[in-house]
Amino acid sequence: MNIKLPALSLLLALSAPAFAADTATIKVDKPWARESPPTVTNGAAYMTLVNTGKEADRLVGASGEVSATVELHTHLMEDGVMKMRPIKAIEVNPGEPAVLRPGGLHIMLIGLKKPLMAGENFPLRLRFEKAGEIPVEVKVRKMESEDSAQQSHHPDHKAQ
Amino acid sequence: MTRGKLIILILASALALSLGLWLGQRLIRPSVESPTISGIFLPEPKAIEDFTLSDQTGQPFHRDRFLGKWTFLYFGYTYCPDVCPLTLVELAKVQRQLARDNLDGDTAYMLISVDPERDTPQRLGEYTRYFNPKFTGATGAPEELNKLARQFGVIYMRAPDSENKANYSIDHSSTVILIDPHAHLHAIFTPPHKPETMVSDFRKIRGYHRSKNN
Repeated sequence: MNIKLPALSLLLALSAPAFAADTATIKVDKPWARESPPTVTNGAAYMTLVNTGKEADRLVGASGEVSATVELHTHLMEDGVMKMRPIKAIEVNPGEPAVLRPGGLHIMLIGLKKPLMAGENFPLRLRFEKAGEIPVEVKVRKMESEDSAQQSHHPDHKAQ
Repeated sequence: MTRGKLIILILASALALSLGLWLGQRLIRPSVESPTISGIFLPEPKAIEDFTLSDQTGQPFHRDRFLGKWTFLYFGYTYCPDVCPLTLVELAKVQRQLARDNLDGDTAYMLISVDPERDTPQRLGEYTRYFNPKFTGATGAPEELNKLARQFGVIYMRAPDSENKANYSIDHSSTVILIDPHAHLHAIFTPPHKPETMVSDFRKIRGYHRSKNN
């Protein structure tokens, strides 16, 4: 049985129902991607991963037909230089939602088969170490609507 | 004391007083404190050394192009999936706010591509226009790019893990450079870039620049 922490209940109430069964301990909140600017063949998907269980879990991979390659990436700021690096896993601990957002953690889509158009969706399969595979529908949004996504949660404060 | 000497003394003190007032005013006005911004402000703007790049139409692009306007420069590349679009979206918001405030008449916004291998002028043009009709782009030979970038402390290099891949990524500084109408480096905005902060910083910088040049 899941025991939902009170702190998470609001977050869960707001989140769109994930596609996983009710017993799953990972909820995927608002998966989205930016529409592709002209000529661009790389993209990124963002979302918030909430662990409603008691045990730590990790996102260890993602796949989909949307692009030739799908990788987990992070950004490191070193001496004012933004460095994007592939990573093996993203930790998703109970009470510490993992926020994938512009300028930080993201699922990188390399070699898009067609440009991402605002208003459309595409499927991705997320692979978790314990929760297994969770399919999500990623919503493509216009460039302009990024603020709301960035400011909707500030879980970083809780994580430390 | 003779009457003549007294007059001279009065005149001299009057002169000293007015000189003092005048000097005081002159000294006080420029000492309006140099603005504090979210980044680095150069109280003594630095002249930009010349370079040769190509703009998004394939035309040569030199230092002279900066004259007569305030230019926001960003170094990035079109294959950049995350940080560059994010910054350009913020910069587009800056442009629109400045336009609403009637401060946009003499501004320019440029993406300098650090990826000349993949970013052709045409590609740069299409890409920058998408973010904002006022945006333009330029790139060029590696040594010319470096000539410009090093003047702002901007650095870039291929990510070590992607050196041999066709789909390489490039690590780069994500500062926004502000060049004044005399083609001098005036300020460097450091990330994270918030449009409202950049707009208010730009107002301060312009105000200060005006007070110094009047």
